[in-house]
Amino acid sequence: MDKLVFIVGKGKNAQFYKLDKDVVSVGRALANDIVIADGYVDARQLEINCAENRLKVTLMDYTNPVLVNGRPIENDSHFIALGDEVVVGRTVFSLHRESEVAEPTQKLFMARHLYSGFWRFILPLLALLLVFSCSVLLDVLQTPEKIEWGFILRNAFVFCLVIVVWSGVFGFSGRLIKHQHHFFSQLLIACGFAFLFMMAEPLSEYLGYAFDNETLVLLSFRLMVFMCFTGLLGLMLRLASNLKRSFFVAGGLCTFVLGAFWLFDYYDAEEFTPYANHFSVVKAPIVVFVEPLTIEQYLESVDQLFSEIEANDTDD
Amino acid sequence: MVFRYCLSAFGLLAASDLQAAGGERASELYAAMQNRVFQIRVIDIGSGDKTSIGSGFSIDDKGFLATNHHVVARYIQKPEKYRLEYVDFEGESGAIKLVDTDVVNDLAILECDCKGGPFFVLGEELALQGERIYSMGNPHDLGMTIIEGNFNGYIRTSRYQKILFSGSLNGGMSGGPALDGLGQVIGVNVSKGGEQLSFLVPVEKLKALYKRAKSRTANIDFMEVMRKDLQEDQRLFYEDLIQKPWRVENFVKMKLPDDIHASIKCWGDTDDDPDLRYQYVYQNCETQDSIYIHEDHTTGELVYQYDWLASDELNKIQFFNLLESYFYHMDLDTAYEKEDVTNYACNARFVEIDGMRWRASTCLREYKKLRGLYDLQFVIASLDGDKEAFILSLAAAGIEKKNVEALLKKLMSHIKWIN
Repeated sequence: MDKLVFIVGKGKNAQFYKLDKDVVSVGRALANDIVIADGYVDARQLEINCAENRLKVTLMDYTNPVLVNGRPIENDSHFIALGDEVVVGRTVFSLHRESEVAEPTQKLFMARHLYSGFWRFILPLLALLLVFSCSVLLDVLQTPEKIEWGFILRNAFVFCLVIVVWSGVFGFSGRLIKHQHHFFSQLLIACGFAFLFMMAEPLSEYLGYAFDNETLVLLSFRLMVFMCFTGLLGLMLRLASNLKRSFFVAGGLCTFVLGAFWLFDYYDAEEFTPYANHFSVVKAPIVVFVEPLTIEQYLESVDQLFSEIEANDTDD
Repeated sequence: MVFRYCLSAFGLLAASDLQAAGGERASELYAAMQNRVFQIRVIDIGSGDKTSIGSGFSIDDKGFLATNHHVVARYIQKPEKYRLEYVDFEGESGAIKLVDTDVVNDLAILECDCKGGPFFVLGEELALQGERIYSMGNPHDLGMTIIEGNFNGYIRTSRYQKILFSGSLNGGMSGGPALDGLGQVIGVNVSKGGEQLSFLVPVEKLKALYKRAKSRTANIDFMEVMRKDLQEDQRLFYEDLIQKPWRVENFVKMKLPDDIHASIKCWGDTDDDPDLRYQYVYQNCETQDSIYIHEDHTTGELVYQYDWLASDELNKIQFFNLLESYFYHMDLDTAYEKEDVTNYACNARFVEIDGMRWRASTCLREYKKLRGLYDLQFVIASLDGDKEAFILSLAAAGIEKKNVEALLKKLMSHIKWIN
């Protein structure tokens, strides 16, 4: 006979009970068949009758509402189906058949290299070396001034040190929270995003320059920074904590912190300045999608500046 | 005495005699004229104390005094906060009112309750080059003084006509009279440029303002007077600049306008620092003087610069990063307060000139109290070469809309690359 399985909670922390009885009591008291350690659940909250292939829930307490798939039960008893999500207090449970087919196994990211053996240490260190090299290379390739190796190497070293310390902080947090530091995995993730972060500024500038659009530079740079930090923080939080929605939390944090910076920038730009701040990006014309203006067309764009001044002055 | 003075004028006395003659003349002039020179004070109504001082002098028996615009500029900006006062040679003070101002030539006419007193005669003829002249004023509130110097003619490269006075004016003497040996006014003290290097406003400018002042009625909006004077001044200057053909000279591989106006002086150099990985040549041209509106706002400047960059050593990315570092607007050091100017509105566009691609940016801001006048910033950089590039930057303070467009059009159409 196919047994019913009572599942309390979700994911890795879920508890599973195989039911041997037709009528099962659920509550906080130890005398219940299913004990739920939740202060918002009554000592004897409800009963579930599994006889006759129907699942009937009978409420024993009304202090807090019991929800089935997000809707409160209005009557003393209610029929539920297999897989329905029932919320009592702050606990979720559901009922399933033990014959239910399990979902396909998820594949771990680079598990053979990250979780075992030689590559677990070498891969993050190689990534760190790559970041160091890229930082040096970007500086050397871009600076028109005399190459000052001491300065360039020191910059790259400090950048890598920040990555190691950042990974160390998350590794230490993982050790405290999950008893696993995952330092080398954290380092590998941090190196990956550091590389993307290094490319954000030149990429956004080339993109904006190609379309002759200052807003595009700003937006693409901010989007890349947001994605870098959200991805970085999301993955690192996943390894270092028990947060179930680490990317959601990371996105929220990044929205708050970066949003605060950008809001400050926005209001700062609104303030008076005696300096002429123009779109000063000039890049090698690798790809430019915009046709140049004639002198007359350019003077028309200058003419628009007078209207802009007048409009801004009216706003003030 | 008259004989000695005549001899000195013809250079017939020895140097020591000249010095003695000049010294005696100065003391005679001081004794005769000190009752015609006043200290002009701007008084803060709140504290009742003076906030700035200058000098002034009587020019008729109706109580009209002459001084510099910059002596009373603070009062013009905030008449509700300040009032004007004079102090005569005996220390007696009294109220004065502003009758007219000429911001362009830095002059102002005041009226005091001292009618019927002695006054200076405004001279008819200029002194001879090298002739002894005298300047009176109250330096640093130390008391009335007279100093000697030499008349050295008009400054040829000044946009606003000035006399070069080889004497040493000091703060507080502004607005005081400059006299010839006969005690006639030949100019008005205005500024100094260094040791024994001072400047005077020619008396003709004072006469013109005095004539206008006599026709003024009460309740004049002095900001409007300034606005009209500035508009007229820039109109004359830029129309002259734009209508006259420009001389074109070679600048490295460019053909460019050179010495576009008599009031503009150019300087140039080549950076030969052995550590540089590129060659850098520049030429900087600018007008030599500016108009003082008030302590935080000047105008009238025109500055432009040519930069040439070339390198065989730099890669394409490095070279364009170098070009980017030169693609900036000059710091037009004229106004820093939001009460005076709006924020800059800027653009940046690709432009085709003479078959080549350029990157151009223009920034403009308007004067808030002097509507219709703008500060212009312009920079343009060549993009077609990855080994050589040219950048032109220009800044003009206090220019009208139609002149902005005409100036930029003429400037861009004069840029030629020599193949």
